Amino acid sequence: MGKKIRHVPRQVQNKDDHNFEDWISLLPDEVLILILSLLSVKEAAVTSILSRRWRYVWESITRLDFDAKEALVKIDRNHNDRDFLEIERRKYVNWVNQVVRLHKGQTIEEFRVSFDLGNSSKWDIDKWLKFVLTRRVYQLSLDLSMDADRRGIRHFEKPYTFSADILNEIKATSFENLSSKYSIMRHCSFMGFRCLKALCFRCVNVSGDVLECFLSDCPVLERLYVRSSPKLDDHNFEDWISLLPDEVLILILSLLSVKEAAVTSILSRRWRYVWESITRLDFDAKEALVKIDRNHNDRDFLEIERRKYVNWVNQVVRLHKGQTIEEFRVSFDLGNSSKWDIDKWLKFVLTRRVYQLSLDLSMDADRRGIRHFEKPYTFSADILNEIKATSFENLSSKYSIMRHCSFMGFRCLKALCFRCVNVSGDVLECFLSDCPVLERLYVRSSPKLVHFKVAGSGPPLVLKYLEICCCLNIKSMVISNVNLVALIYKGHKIRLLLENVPLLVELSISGLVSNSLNKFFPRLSCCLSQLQTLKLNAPMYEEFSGFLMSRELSSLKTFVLHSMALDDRCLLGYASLIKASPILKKFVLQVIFLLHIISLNFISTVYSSS
Amino acid sequence: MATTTTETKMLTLCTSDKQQFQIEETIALQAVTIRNMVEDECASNVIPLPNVNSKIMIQIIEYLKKHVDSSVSKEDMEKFDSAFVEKKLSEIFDIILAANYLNIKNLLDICCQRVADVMKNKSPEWVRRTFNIVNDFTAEEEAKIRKEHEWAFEGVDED
Repeated sequence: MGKKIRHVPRQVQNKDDHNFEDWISLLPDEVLILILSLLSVKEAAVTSILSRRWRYVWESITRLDFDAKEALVKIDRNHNDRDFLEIERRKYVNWVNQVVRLHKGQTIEEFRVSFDLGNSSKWDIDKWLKFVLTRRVYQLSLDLSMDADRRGIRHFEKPYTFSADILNEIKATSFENLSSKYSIMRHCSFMGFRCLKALCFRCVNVSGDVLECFLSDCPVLERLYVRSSPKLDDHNFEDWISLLPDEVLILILSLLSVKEAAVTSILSRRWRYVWESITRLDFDAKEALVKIDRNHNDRDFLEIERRKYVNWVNQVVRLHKGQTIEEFRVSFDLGNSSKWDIDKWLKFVLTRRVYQLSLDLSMDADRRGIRHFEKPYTFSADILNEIKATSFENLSSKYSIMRHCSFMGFRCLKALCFRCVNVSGDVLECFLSDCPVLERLYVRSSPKLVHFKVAGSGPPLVLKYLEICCCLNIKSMVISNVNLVALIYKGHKIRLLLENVPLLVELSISGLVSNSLNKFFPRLSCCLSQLQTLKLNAPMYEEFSGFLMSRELSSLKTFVLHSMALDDRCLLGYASLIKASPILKKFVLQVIFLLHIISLNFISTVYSSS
Repeated sequence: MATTTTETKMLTLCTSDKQQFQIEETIALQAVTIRNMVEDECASNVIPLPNVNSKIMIQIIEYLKKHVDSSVSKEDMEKFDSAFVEKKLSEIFDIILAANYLNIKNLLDICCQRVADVMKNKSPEWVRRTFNIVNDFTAEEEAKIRKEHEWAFEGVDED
């Protein structure tokens, strides 16, 4: 019924007003295109079935406004339905693709894309841009606001990035097509840019560089609108950090603590495993150590914290991927009960290219100066042999020539530090002979260290800094044929022999050296004239002050003496020591008298009177 | 310092946007990549640097010029370095890429330090927001990793 009623008046109207020929089909194409361009793309496409005359006319329309408000409203309504979104996106993309594929005209008054699209549609959007920018386009608008933008929530997807590559590609093809014909016009001949008057980007990731390129290449560009481009806005720029190559990310993460680096594993998939190659493994646990100190009577607490620490190091060591370790530092209250784990760590690190290795196992007892409950960890020679054996096995077939210094862990090691680790002279000597670039060695509180020989056979050892402190059972130390620059010794009586150390300039000795300093210093005489800094902390200063005064301390710049005295009469003797040191700049004397301490800090700039 | 040398040799660097920069060889050779090119290619006049644009090149030359000057004291150099990295992070990013390509170790180091300083003591949520990193883990995956590295997340604020 209703149909009929509607039909009747229309027929009547047609008959009454315009009962003539199909004049519209007689209009020339360009006029039809003008008319169709005033319709929406869908309405224009519908005209293709009017008659054969109309079949292809719409394909040249000049206004390509891909409007899909209705679909967007539906998406908003179903904003939790990702599947629905994907279906609608596919529909939209297919639509635009089809129109773009069929389009015939070389002129496009307006090209507008407006839909919920992210970087996952990059391939298609790139294609559209290439299409439109190789035609005479006047207005170009790309509005890709996503559901998340509109509702202000967290992004699931990155916005589409308009990369400079697309522009370069378009320019390159334009050059190719045109270069032969119009070589003179070459540098502004790409059509898409010649007519562009208005440009609009919304929720498109477009950088300043790309925009600047448009501005310089489009001679008539009058309007530019950019909204929500993360690349332009510095506070909210693109995720460039994730684009950095792995090696740079590893550099950055190696500047953080191990914990901070590990936290980055949950940033995104890109970051998942990067931290496992960091080069600084400093297992620092100051906070836990402070807590242990506070609960120093609570053995259970200590054991829990120890287990935590050991598990932590174990896990990181197990996951670690890199072959280079700039620094490996363990610092915790651990004794020989953790030997199995510590051995494992040492095997791990010494089979990699490690530069600095530091093992500080001061236990609560050490710190508070009380009796030990537990033996310190013992670094046995077996571990070293085991490491060497495996290294040999791996390498012997390939590099048999390099064999005897080929185990990685030793080749790069520059600094080695043991604190409260039971390490014998043999093990240390093994390090010295196997590590060709070892420059620093620090050993503190190693009860096992008794005799220590630092001697280069053949070329001198490259060791520059040697510090041996508080090793209770040390008896003798021989230092010979070494490029040593500084030697620091603190501890008990020791037989110290120094010879062939041509570079030694700093010597610091605390405690008794040999039975009498008279026996010690003659052995030093070979290097006294080259010393620039001499620090002594020893009683009975009268004996050696006499000796020192008879020597030429021609290079000495700093002299520090901590000593004990019965009275103040012999202080005057130091005037002659100053005379024996022509370039002495700093002279610090701290004398402990029997009942009180006086401290004299006497700094003379240059001593010149003779 | 350079006055004693007979003549200062110049090198021409050509950036990705075809800009040419004439700089003293001693300045340019601080970049290991350029040094290798000069050593390998004998005497080609123009060195192409397709991975560096002119905007970044200007800043890198500023850095290299300062660092070749041996009369600058250590403190002044440190001041210069810390002022140099006071840039937008997006610019630091471009400089990092260029320094990595040109192999200028100390420049790469100070830029990486700048980025690391931004990340220090921050929650992952903060880092994501600052660097616009899209969390593409599912909630379950993230929880699993958090559990795996429990020690790392101890005491880390949720935001």
